[in-house]
Amino acid sequence: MSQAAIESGRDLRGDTTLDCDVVVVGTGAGGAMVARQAARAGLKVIALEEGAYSVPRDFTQREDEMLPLLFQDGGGRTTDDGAIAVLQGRGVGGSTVHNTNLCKRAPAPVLDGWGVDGWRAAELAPHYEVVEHDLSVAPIEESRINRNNAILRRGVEKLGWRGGILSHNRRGCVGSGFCELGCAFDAKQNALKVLIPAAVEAGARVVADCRVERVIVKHGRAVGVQARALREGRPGATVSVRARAVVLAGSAVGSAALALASGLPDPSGRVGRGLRLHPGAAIAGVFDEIIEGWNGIPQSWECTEKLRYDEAPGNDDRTWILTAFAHPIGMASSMPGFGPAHMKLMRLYPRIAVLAAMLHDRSEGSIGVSSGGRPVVKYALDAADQRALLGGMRACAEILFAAGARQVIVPFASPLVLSSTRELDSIVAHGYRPLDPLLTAVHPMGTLALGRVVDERGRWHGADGAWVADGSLFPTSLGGPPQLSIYAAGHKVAGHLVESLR
Amino acid sequence: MLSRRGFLRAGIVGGVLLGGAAIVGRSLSGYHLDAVTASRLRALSPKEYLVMQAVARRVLAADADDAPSADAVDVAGAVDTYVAKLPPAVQREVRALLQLVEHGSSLFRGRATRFTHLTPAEQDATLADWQHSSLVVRQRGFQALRTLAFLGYWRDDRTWPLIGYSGPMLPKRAL
Repeated sequence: MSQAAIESGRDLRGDTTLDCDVVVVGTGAGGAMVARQAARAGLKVIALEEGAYSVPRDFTQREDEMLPLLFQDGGGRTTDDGAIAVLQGRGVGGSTVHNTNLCKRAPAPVLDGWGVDGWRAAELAPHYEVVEHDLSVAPIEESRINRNNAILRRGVEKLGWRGGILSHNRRGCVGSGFCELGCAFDAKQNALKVLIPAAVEAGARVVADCRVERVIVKHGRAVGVQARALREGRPGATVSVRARAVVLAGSAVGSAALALASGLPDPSGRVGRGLRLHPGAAIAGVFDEIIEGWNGIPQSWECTEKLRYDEAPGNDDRTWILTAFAHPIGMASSMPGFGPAHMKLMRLYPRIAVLAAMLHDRSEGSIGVSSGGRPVVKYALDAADQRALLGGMRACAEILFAAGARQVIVPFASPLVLSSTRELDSIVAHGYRPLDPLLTAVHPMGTLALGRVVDERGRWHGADGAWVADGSLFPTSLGGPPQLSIYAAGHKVAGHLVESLR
Repeated sequence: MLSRRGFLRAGIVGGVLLGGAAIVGRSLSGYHLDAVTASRLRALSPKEYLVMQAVARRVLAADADDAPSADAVDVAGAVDTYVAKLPPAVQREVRALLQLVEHGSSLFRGRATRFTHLTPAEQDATLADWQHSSLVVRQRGFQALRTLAFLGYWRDDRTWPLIGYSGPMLPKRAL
């Protein structure tokens, strides 16, 4: 696909009004899938994207250059108390541009537990199959497991715990290790590479640098959107799009914020509520051997020993454990403290392995909108989730020791440095409080949930013509990487959408 | 996934306190930055650059002589370049944070002294106060300040030999 096939708000001169059948807000996994499917069905599609359109040569592998390009707020988005960094994509392809390609279906107990018609594991399976085929999903080859992931595997196997290799959507990967900064080698089989070109080829218009500010509702029906072209991040010309259907696909944060800002009807009282984040904490192990975890495929192995999809209130085994290495800026930010003590920690970089416990959370947060129109993410871990997270952090430390770590560093504000397994309980004893330790979340979900805000087809309750096709749909957290499920949800919703417009 | 760290944490920064800091900051003067550096700034004012420089010197104080200094790699200049690429509302938050650390620190410590006028030991104590503060705005401010400093420092190729980082596979381009 030539770069010219994607339009940019930068090039729009003067206010513009466009007409189409379907306007899609956001071009990540869900939005790109809807755009492709609807365009292939012969519908006139316009997809609007707040961020830029980037091609592989734009991905320079430098954190300071890629963070402003690929992430909302340059990577600075957080919960309103600053306790959890909420990293979300910005740009054509959304978070699929910077994610690490993990492809895993949502577990059957989770999907079946929703009790939503059409979304049970067996019913969603055909949609997953399409996605897995189109994105070339396959298990990582054994030979591609890098040293950080080999540490995880070694520790898990030594403990006799449950774990295994992960599947990815990549082809022609050279193992540069810069997935999270966009793939300069074009190996990611993602929304940017696979779905957007197919959508454009089928006739869809994709406009980057164009921020949707409002869904227009008339007489109880969504009839289009009002957007602003962006130039150097600043709003310019007005872009009005009239459409028979409006699809919100700007993430569980962006879509909910847009719905709230637009005053979309909320008969359930649940718009923007029910937010889950999969917050995670990282633990570092110091080894005698050289690991250089920045080299190779970042995440190829998982530990599921502490992850049970049991909804019982007393189930504290709700963390998914995987590796979490970062390039220097990311690593520096995750290490505690400052000054000489911090730099001393940084010198351990080549001999550090990092694991993370990602919480299959039950705590419910919410999305609001600031007076300036920006999303506000409110979220606090409840007591049970705090227990589960600390248990997962303890398990990470146990794995690292089992793999041969000389020390384990737990990045509390006053860091715990453990020298043996006898000290593991100190992690749980320390407890959790906001900002201690710092948490990171990359999977917002649940703010426009199935069966509450939208029906089982993804159609808005109370406003005909409005649809949702992103992670907002999921009524609970998934307990695993959501991208495959968001693609599948987009595929499913697109089918219903096309059927409704025929 | 989780290796994608949040590092700015300046979403932190909103609120009345910072708004006030921004207003106070505009009313004060007495900051001198050389004309060449000042002319290159895209987002920060000369004063904000100098505050960021002072913060960076402490956050990146080295444990040994082989580490390039924060000034040598122009951390504050790199932060300015980064901030200039952020949405205007986030830029305002970062600038307000720098005003707060400059003038708000003395407010909290009971002395009418700007951060840039404190001794290095006092600056370290101020940052530690912020880190362990019971006030969320200060904890968040600390995280944002140190991560901005880390971004400005560890982005630079000259710092990578310290930590054995082999760097990108791609050559650096002139931007």
